[in-house]
Amino acid sequence: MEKSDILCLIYTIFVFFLLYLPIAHLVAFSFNDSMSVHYPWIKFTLDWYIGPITAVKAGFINDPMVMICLQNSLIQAAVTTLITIAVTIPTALALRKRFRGRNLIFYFLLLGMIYPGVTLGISNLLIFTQWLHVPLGLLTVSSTVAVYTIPFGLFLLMVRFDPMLARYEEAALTLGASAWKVFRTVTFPIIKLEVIVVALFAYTLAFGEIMRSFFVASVNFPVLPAFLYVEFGAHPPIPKFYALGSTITLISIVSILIIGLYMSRGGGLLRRSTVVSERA
Amino acid sequence: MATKRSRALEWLSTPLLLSPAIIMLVIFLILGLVYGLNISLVSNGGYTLQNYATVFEGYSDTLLFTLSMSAGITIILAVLCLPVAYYLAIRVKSDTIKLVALLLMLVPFWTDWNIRAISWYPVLGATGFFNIIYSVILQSLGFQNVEPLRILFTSSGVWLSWIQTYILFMIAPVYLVLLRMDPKLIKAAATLRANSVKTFYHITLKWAAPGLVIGSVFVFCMAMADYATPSLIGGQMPVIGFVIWILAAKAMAFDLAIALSAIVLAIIIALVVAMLKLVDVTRVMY
Repeated sequence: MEKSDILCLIYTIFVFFLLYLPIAHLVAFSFNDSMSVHYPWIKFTLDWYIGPITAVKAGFINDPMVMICLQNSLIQAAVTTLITIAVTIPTALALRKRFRGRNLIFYFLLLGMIYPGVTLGISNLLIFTQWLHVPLGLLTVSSTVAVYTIPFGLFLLMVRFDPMLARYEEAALTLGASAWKVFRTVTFPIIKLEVIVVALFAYTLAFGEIMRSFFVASVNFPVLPAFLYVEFGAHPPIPKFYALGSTITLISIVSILIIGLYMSRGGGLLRRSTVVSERA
Repeated sequence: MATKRSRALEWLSTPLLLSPAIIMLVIFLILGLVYGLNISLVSNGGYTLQNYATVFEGYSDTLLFTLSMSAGITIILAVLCLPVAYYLAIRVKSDTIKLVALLLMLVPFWTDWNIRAISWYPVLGATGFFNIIYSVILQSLGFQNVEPLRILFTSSGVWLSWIQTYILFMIAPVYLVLLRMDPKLIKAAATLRANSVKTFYHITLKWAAPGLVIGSVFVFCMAMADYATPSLIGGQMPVIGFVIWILAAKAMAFDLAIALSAIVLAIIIALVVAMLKLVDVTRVMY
């Protein structure tokens, strides 16, 4: 190992230390038997997870408001994921071809990623309430958040496409299969893993999204990020929310592991040369 | 006959396949924008620029402050990410380590925004992790009565949290462009007796530049409109995103909120257009 390599390694480790320091504290203080979320750490307790609602240290699973918001957010993220998948698969398939205006369409679709979330939230709130007169709820949140998740899904699908895919499709079409049949029997089975990755990515992203969801959620359909944002704006956070956060983070890490397992086959993001599929 | 049919399908299929995405974006992004802009331009029954004049006058300082915060995080992340991306793309040989490292950077971005913000409280607070380390170091150097550092509810706290949030957007493009660089170039430079500074400047930085441009534009734009992090970690710091949030959510002044948003959006669009002139994004991405 050269000297510069060791320096780079130390630097990389330092960056990861910085990224995981707060996460470690989040978990540590969720088990702390104290009302405060500051040092010193006193002693271990599970109260912030499962403590009865009547106790001073009530666990988050016994807090009805948290659980309703959690449930709504889980449903909302699922609907957002469905929209994302339904939109990104055909788009990514179409963008494989080179045609006039292709780059323009690609940039247009990426717009949702950097478009200011607060602006998207407010302007969608206005068209939903003042113009379309639809009640705020599940669908308004999901469709607004999907504008944000679609570019991520699209990008993930596009970097991972099997270069042989188009040839298989062509072969099936030449043999007389209909376009839908080709998709069902050839395309989808080949891109299945990529779709799972996109789904997990979109789900997790949609679940914790605050910037856009805040404005288009409603009292009838409160979502977790909006609830927490108002809560933390009004009171300093108590360890109950650290317990909730640790649980959510744990679930994120598990889904990341699943993604990792799938991505480690093939490997479009990892190799220097163009992807040569194992399936080809 | 079959080829004729498949050609016809091919010709038809592109617009058909693209339509869900286009419809989705037109309805939920463009339409909202047009409707909002219309509201911001109307006041007292006619079209005026009154709202724009009001927000320019009232919030030009806020705008400048926000631009400096965003520029700060962009520079911090560029400096932070270049060596890490270089190390992962060029030096690390194992695919598993690369994958694990990239995924580990995804975890913080994936966590709920509010949860990510509050997880910094025990680290940055007056009795937080950083202050404990700080006072231990100073006391070991012989200083007594160490005043705690103020990090929480300041811009450095916001920057730290932003590093955690946006690191992926800087590292991914830089990593992707460096993956395509031939590591032999560095050896060649050494053979030609370039010192490490020259090698870095003429080879690594040149190759990383398109990635750095893309990453910077992404980070800058996202940071500029963020309201959750500056309000939770910055102690309701007056950045433009948070002002827009207050105007819309508390004051219900949607016309002013949209007018201010339009200014932010104009800056973002200008940056993106400049970026597209500088680098070919599609070539970097796949």
